[in-house]
Amino acid sequence: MQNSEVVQSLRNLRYHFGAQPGSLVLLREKILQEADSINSVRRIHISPTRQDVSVFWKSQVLVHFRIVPQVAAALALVVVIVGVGSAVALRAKPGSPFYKMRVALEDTSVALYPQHATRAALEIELFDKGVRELKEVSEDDISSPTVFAVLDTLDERLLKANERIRTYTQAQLDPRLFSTIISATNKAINAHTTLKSLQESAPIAMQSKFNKAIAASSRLKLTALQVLVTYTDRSNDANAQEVVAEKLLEEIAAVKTSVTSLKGVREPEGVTEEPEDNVKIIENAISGAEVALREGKLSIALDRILESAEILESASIGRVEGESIEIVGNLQSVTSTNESSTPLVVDNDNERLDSSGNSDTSAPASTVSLPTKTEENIEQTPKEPPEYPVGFDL
Amino acid sequence: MHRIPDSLIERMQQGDREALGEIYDIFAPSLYRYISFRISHVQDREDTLSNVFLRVFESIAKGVKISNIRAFLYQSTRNAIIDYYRESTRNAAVVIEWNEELLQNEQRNGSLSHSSPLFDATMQNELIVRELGRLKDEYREILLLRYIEDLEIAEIAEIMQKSSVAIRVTLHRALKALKKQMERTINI
Repeated sequence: MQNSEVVQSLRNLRYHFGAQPGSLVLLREKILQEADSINSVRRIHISPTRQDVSVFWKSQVLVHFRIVPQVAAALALVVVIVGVGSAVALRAKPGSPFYKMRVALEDTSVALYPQHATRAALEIELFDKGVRELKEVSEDDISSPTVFAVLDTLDERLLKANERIRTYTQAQLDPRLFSTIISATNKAINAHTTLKSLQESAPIAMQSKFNKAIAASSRLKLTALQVLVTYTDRSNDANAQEVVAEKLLEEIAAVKTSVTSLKGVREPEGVTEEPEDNVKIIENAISGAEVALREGKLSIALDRILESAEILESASIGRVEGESIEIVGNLQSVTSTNESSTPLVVDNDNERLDSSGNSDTSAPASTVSLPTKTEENIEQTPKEPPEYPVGFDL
Repeated sequence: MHRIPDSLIERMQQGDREALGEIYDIFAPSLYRYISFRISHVQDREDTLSNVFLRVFESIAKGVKISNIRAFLYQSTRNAIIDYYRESTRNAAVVIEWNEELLQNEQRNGSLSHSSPLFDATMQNELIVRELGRLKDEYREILLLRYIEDLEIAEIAEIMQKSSVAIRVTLHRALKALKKQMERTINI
């Protein structure tokens, strides 16, 4: 048997086997009917893959992309609103509804800089700007709520600048940095002086806030001096040392003035029996500072100044029965702890109040301020306090 | 090889039932025959064929790409037959049966006499069908597709998911095996 015969036998099979006549026709009709039902189901649950390109484009692609311009427009609108809002807010003056927004934006802008030195420089600029604005708003009406807002902002910024400026002690030596620290010190001194001068014309209700800001500016000034001395000692720059020495001399002069004020307040009145030891210690410290300066020992001079400042502080703190007295001198602040939240604030460089709370501007530089509720504070002030702070006439 | 116009497929993709009808007219007889060698029950054959066309119609409408509609139809039919036996309770092992009843029916319908010139042909058909049934499934399948259904080697390769070379080799072995069995039977 040949292969071809086998193949032919196989091929022959195809002619002998098949469907019964007519059966495939009936089956055809059945299949087409089934196909119709499949089509109807398809129309209901139409799938994107089965649609032609145009239908798919319209129903799937275009629908989504139609949204894009709307979303883009909405985003653009948000960007424009935020941008315009920020631009308006950044130009907002104190008293404007956008002032708080401006402050927040400025604070945020500081936080966006990664370098500590840049942040510190910005904080210094911001508190200096606050001082200028405080002067402006105080000229119009120092008792206005706007002054409160500006003072609050300034106080916060003085504190922040105080923290930031410390970072300069670890900074690399750079002549530009020295000028920045000098500038910061000058600005802190300017802030301190401005605040004190404005406080003189401020109403009693605002004295507390002013004293707080003055204390902050005082701390900032001292921190700046410390940073300045540390940096100058590291640099061994003779010119820088000379500049710093002048600054320290100014500070010594300020302490001397405060000591004189203390003496002037206390001696004529004779109200307290505070020992004169403190004054002597302060004077000794100042003398030591002057000697150190002459010898070119800036750090020792500064230590002596700080020592005198501390003693000045302790000598200035007094207590009144039932009240905690917050005294702010040139260099320090003591937080009130009294239960009635009516701190008395005393500044030995400013005006003086008598025991009834009335101002006595003719008196030597000494101030007692009742911060918020003047009448209440006056009523709560004891008529015969057991102990009076040194150099302050209550 | 049956060449069908691409437009027919495109019409089916659009859900044109008449296009399905045209394809049915072309391929249904040969597919029915292919099924007949495997499924003895007439109603089951028709159901299987119906399922094949409806499945193909759905697949094309879903966008399944088809390069050769004939190979696709035979592959679908082969799968449908496998499914038929898989679902059937009569044979859980999914062994595709060889339909030997077919030959008996042929003999009854033909009322052949030994004197008829067709007798030899009928005897030969009976012999070859019987010997086909004794072959391995793979050999039987490949011979059926190649010589009865007249499919190309490439089409068979596509249907059976093998390479053309493997199909040629298997086809050669299948033919040799069938010939050997037939010679043995004749000699006996």
